[in-house]
Amino acid sequence: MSRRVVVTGMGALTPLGLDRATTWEALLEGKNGVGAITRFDASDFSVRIAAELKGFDVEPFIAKREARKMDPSTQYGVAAALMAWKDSGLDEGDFDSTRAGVIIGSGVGGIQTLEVQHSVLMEKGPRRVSPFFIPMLIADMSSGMVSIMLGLKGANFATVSACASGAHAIGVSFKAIRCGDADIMVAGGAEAAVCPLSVAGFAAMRAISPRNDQPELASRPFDAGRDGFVLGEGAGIVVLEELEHAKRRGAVIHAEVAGYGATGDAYHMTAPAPGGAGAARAMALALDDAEMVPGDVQYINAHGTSTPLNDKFETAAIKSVFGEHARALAVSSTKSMTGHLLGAAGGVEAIFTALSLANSVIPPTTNYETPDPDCDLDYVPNQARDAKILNALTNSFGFGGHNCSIAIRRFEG
Amino acid sequence: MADVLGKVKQVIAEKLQIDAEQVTMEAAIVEDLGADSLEQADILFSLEEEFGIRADDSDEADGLKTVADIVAYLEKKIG
Repeated sequence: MSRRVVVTGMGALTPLGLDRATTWEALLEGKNGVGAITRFDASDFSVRIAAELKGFDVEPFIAKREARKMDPSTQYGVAAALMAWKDSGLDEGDFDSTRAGVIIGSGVGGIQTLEVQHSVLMEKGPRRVSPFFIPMLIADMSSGMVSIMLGLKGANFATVSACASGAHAIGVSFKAIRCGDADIMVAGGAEAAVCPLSVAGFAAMRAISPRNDQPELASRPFDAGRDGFVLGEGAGIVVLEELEHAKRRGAVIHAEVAGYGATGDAYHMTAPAPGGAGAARAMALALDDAEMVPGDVQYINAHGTSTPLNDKFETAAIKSVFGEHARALAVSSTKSMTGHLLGAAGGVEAIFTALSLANSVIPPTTNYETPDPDCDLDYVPNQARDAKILNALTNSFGFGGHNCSIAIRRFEG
Repeated sequence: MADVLGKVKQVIAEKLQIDAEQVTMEAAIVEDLGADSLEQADILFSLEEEFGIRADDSDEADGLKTVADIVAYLEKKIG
C-alpha cells in the first residue's frame, strides 16, 4: 500500500479576507474582492482596477526588523504559512525536522522590490541600491524564510510556472511525501504583483480586464462578456502530511491529496493549445495518478481566469476528458470573486477545493450573466450550492504552456 | 560630535528596530546590537547618504566595529 498524503493545515490571505475562514465565508456569499487600485496612482493606466489585499498588518506574523527585509510577496507567504502551520497543530507537535520541507511558488517574485530599487538605481546611482534588494527580489525567499521561522530542514525551493506556480508546489510536495522523501511539506503560492510595472505589463498584453467603471463585474469567468482577468494578490499555503504521521498525532485532516498531473503545451508563450489539449492531458494524468475514473469526480475548481481563450479551452479540455460526465460536473471559478492571484492562485484554490469537499458546499462562479456557446457546462452560477462531493480536481495553467491539475478526495477516515 | 552621534544612533536604531538608548559609543554593531552583514552594509550606505560621503571599497569602512569607530570615521570623512 503506497503512502497517502493528507492536508492537515491551511492558511490563506486573499482579497476577500485576511484568513481562511473569512475568505471562505465571503466566497459562499458571492462577495467580490475587486476595486479601484489604491496602491498607486493608476490614473494614467488603461486598467485601474485590481483585487488588492485590504488591511494586511504584517506585525502579528513577523517582527518589524525582519519584515522590512522582505518583499510583500514573502510577507504574504510567511503569514499564510504560519497560519497553516498553527492550523496543523505541528507548532506544538513532535516531528523530524529533517523530513519536513517547504515549496512555495510565486509567479513574479519580488516585483515591487525590483520596481523600487530600479528607481533608486536610476535616481541615486548604484551605491544606493539596497543590500537587501537581491534577497527581497528572488522568488524562492518565501520558502527560505518559512523554513527559517519554522525550523524545517527538508527539501526547500520554489516552483515558478507563472499562474500554475502554487499548484505545482503542492503537486511536487505531494509526490515527495508519497514517494517517501518527506513526511511533512509546507506548500503553496504567494504573490504581490499589484504595482505599476506589472499592471502596465499585463495591460499591454491585453490580458487584464479594462472594465474600470464596474470593478466588481470585471472578473466574469465563462460569461460571454468576459474580457480578461483581474490582477489579485495574496497567498495560499497548505501543510501536507503523510496519513499515518497525521493519525499518530491525532491531527485534524481536512482532505486527501490523491493525484497530480503536469504537462506542457509545447505550443505558444501565452495562448493555450487549441482545444485545451495540454490541460486535458494534465487532468487525465491527475485522475490516473489518483486511480480515479471520470465518473468519480463531482467538482472541478477551474482555472477559469475570465480571459476569452482560457475559459473556452478549459471547457473544451474538461469535455474531452470527461465525455458525457462533463454535463454532470459542477465547475466553478472562484477567481470571479478573488481575482487572479497568479502564482498564489493554485494555493488558495487547493484550499477552496479541500473546503468544498469537507463542507459539502461548492462556491459559485459569480458575474455569470450571458451564456457563451463555447462555455456550456454547469458553472454553479452566482449561488453557492450544497452538494456532497467525494472527489474534485483543481486546475491551474500558466503562461509558458504549463498545465497542472490536482485531484483531491474527501477524507472519510 | 554630538550631532554626528545623534544621527548615527538614529540610523542604527531605525535599521535594527532597537531603542536608540541601546546604541552607546561602546556598543559593537555585530556582537552587541546583533546586526548581520547585510544590515551592516545597509547602515553604512544610509550613513553615506545622510552625511553626503562616499566610502570606497578599499576604505577602512569595512573594519568599523563599534559605534565609536563609526563616529570617528564619519568625523574624519566630513572633516
